[in-house]
Amino acid sequence: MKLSLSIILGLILSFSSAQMRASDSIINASHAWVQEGPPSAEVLAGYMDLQNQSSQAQTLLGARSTDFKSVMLHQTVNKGGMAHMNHTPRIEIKPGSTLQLTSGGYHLMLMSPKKALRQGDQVEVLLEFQGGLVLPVKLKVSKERP
Amino acid sequence: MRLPSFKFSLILASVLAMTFLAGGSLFLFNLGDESHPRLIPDQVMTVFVDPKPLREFVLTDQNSHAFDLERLKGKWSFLFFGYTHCPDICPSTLANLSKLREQLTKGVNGSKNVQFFFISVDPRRDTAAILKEYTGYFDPSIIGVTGTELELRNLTGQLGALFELESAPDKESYQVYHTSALFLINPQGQYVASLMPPFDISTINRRFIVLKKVNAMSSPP
Repeated sequence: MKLSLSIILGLILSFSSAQMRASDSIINASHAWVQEGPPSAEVLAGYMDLQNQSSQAQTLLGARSTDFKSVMLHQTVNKGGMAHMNHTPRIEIKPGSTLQLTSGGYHLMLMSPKKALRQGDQVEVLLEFQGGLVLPVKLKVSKERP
Repeated sequence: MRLPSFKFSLILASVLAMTFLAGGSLFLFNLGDESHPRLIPDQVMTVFVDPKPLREFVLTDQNSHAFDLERLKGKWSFLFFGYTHCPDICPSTLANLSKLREQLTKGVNGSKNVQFFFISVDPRRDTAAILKEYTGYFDPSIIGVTGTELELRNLTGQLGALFELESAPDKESYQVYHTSALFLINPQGQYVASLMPPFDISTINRRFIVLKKVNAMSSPP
């Protein structure tokens, strides 16, 4: 009984770590950061570069984080001379190409941080891709793009 | 309808020469057509050859003082319209405004008479205290301002700035759509240029120096 339990546990662990390694080699996240805001800021933005290293298109469907009340994929667009933020249900990244989450474009909208974030702090966001791929990304809180 | 005077042509020639010296490209638009407003459009800064005098307006600053046309006179003023619950455009613009202030004012030749205002178009959430904390975080010399919707529209209307509340009053975190440009007012209280993102600080700095010289020639103290 004990043996079978540890086998199952071992299988689960090795599977999840394999998936983790797999997600890393499929999408490479770099320059991941959160723009530091005033102490009372209720919404912050997360930026990063996501390079699709696989030979297939990857589709980003959303994100979640235990460091925030909620996380949404957003795009700042200019509509009739005004900046709008649109919720984006999916963003496709073509094989070999890089998706830039950047100011004035696609970004993660990070709502209600669980604690006030200061420069040097780090938060983790889990990016969810089509097909069940989950990519954990650590974002540095900073005043400037790292 | 005014005919371009000799003085005006002289100023224009100087603008061209100085811009060339500043390493920028400048195009004249609709110069031959007097029925259109003459603009000097540019990727960085759109300068109005005929600056537009602003009419009276009254708003309230973060220290609960009146913010009116008088406050803009005697100084160059950069205005930005936004709101503090804005995660993307506003923090990056305020960070840029702070860098711009540093660039424009640094050194012995730096401008002494420039000021920066962040005007919230979300008065429901942005109280004076919230604005003060927000601008103070980015740069204590940026002053937060707001007012009632009617008061705000009086100023935004004159500048062609737009804003609109997201129509979802039940939502706790509604968006406010707003123009992402910067508006530049000269020391005579005239709307003289608009700047569009992405803000290239060092180019803005060079253009601003040219603009100051042109302004000094066209409106002697």
